[in-house]
Amino acid sequence: MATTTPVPTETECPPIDFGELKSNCVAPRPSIMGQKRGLRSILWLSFKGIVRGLLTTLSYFRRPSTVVTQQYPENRDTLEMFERYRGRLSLIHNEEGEHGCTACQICERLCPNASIIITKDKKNEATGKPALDQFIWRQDTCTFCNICVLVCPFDTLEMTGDFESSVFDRRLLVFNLNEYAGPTAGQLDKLEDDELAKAQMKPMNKYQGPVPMCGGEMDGIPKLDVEKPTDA
Amino acid sequence: MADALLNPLSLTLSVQTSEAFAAPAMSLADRASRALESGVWGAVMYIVIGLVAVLTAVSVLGLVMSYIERKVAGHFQCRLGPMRVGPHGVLQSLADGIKLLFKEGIEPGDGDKVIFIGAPIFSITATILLLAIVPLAPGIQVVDMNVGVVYIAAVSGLGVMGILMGGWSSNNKWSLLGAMRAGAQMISYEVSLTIALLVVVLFSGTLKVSEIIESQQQGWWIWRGHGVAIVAFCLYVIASTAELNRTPFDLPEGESELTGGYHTEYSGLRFSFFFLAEFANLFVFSALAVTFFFGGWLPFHVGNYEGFNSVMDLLPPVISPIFWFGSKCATLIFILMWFRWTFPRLRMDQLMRLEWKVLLPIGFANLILAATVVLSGLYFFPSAT
Amino acid sequence: MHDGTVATLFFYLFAVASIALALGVVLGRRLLRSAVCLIGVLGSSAGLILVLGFEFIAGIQVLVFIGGIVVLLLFAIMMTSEGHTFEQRPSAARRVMGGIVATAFFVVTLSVYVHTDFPPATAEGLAVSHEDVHAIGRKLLSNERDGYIVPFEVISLLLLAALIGGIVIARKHDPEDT
Repeated sequence: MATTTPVPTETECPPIDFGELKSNCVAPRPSIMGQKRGLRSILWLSFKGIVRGLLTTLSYFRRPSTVVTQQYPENRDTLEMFERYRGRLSLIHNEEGEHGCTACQICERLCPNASIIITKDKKNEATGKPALDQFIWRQDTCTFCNICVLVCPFDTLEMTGDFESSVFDRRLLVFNLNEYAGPTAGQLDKLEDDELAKAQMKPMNKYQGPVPMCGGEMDGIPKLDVEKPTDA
Repeated sequence: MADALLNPLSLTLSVQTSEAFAAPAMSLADRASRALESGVWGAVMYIVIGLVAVLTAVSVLGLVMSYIERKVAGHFQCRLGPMRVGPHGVLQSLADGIKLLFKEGIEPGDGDKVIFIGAPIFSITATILLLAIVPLAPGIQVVDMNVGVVYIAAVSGLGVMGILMGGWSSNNKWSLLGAMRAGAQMISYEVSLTIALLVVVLFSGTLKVSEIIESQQQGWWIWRGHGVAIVAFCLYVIASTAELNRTPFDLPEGESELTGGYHTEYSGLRFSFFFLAEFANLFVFSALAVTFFFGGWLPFHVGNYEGFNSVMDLLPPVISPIFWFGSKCATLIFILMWFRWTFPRLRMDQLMRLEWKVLLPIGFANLILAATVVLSGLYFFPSAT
Repeated sequence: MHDGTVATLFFYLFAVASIALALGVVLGRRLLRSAVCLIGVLGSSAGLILVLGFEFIAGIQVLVFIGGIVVLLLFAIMMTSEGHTFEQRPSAARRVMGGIVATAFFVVTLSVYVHTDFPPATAEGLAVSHEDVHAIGRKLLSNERDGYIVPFEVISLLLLAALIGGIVIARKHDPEDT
């Protein structure tokens, strides 16, 4: 840009008059980056722009390390997904296998297509507070919009990078996310009695309990219980 | 119908080689002309062999170029390109070709069927005719007319007809618009293309392609032309990019506004004809640039500096033309691909303005300058001519 | 090339193609097909010229007529966009008129053909005339007695005038003018 002397930017409107449906629009002097420039400067800048574009693509071409393509089935073991990729939804469990879900059902209510169904124990016998029973996620209807993750007041949900979710029966796409039915990690910590706390964690596996799938039934998946919990 | 009327033309042009192969050194050419003069059957044999050779070349070129293009495009865009079919995807274009063969050829109901079928044939025939004049190595050239440059200009104009016919007969507004754009663009840029070639014709003083190459024994015209040839070469590259309908001048098939342009309605084998023609043309235009500006198959020579020249001549005579022509041609093709995957598309009015208000005046001024240079014998190593 | 069986073969090939396609141009009722046939006619006549050995003329024929004029025709047809529809059947009066004109033209051509004495070309003359593009160029621009500099310049001037005229007509007019 050595050839140009910086001129104070000054936008000049061409005279356009649509009053009598006529326009003697005068093309403004070509400007690049907000400055009016002479022909030589424009030519030089254009040339520089063209060369810069060419060099950019050439630098990608020269360096195979810039290739972002993943050779997926081959590199399955080493594949690292991106941090913001939205794959399978998961309920975060800490090292002791305790989750943080209080079954407040905000995610269920805000889910745009009702892909989350939460059943809860209204009053846990040990803590006296509501506790999660089942966190059912319908992956078959989920659009991975991330709203549940954003609205969760306790940050217990996350979208993982796991994208290999194909199954041969779509009923298998409806499953529990929690590994046990019971109170949250915080509530369990408040209980003095470790034995009592352990007792509150009733193990829950993926397809346990009345998993709703249009009332279907298959091996290991019992028929859907009709009385769907409806506490608004 | 277009098929029927084009074949005779191509046949004659092939026959015409009999008197064109004049240089004594060309044993292959001698044999060809002897074959032509030996009677009807000799001539027919030569024509058939020549046509089959060029057709094969077109198909192979189409396959190879489309693979290379996809690979190069991939790496320009931080991708890998085809990787699955064969090692590094080398068999990809073969697989695509087989797939295209088995596809249904759909004809639009209200279109003009005869012209619709004829258009791709027209298009590929123009390419075949153009490829026939490309000198690949000493004597390896199907047609070498006395008026080679006129032939190039005439035949490259035929390609427009195929596109116009295809766009019209599809009975589809996108096809029609794409064809109109292609027609306007190709006719316009043909002028610049021919003017750029005329500069070299002025330098070498002949229209015959093989003689143009011979005239570059002492050095390629792009060096000897004192900048005039460099300007001509830049004009040629820009104009041939437009002539090939490649980005930044690929408005005829601008997919954002025209879906597919003139070949929107084409499918299967007929589409592949357009496709083949496009990729073979890429080779042909690069090869012509090599022939006119970079000395064809000739090695890099500098005037009469015997030492340097003999180093350049070290390659054995069989490999030398293949190496020199191949490497030059590959470089040019790479540059054209580089342009394609770097620049965004121009607008139609910008395209036309570039040709008629920028390139054409530059071309004419350059031509006059070239004439001055030639008349005053200013170019390097004038003893060569 | 200008003698021998191959040349004769190709002469008849091109002659037949030329006549057939010319009929196609005149009798076809789809405009675009007629235009495509016209390409064929021009190509065949280029082929005929080629059989005679005049490569330059044949090349120019293809370049100018097919690459320029027919493309222009195609553009005109596409712009007016009535090419799809069949052309109206001409009225009887028009047909009679056309027939008379065509016959008269045929008779004139035939009489010229009959009354002209065509000297057989000598081999040397042919050899000179079609080998040398230089000769054509020299003759076109020479101001000797047999040069064509004056017609050349007059045609250039005419084309320039036509070009400027075209620009003037196509130019956008200011509403205040005229």
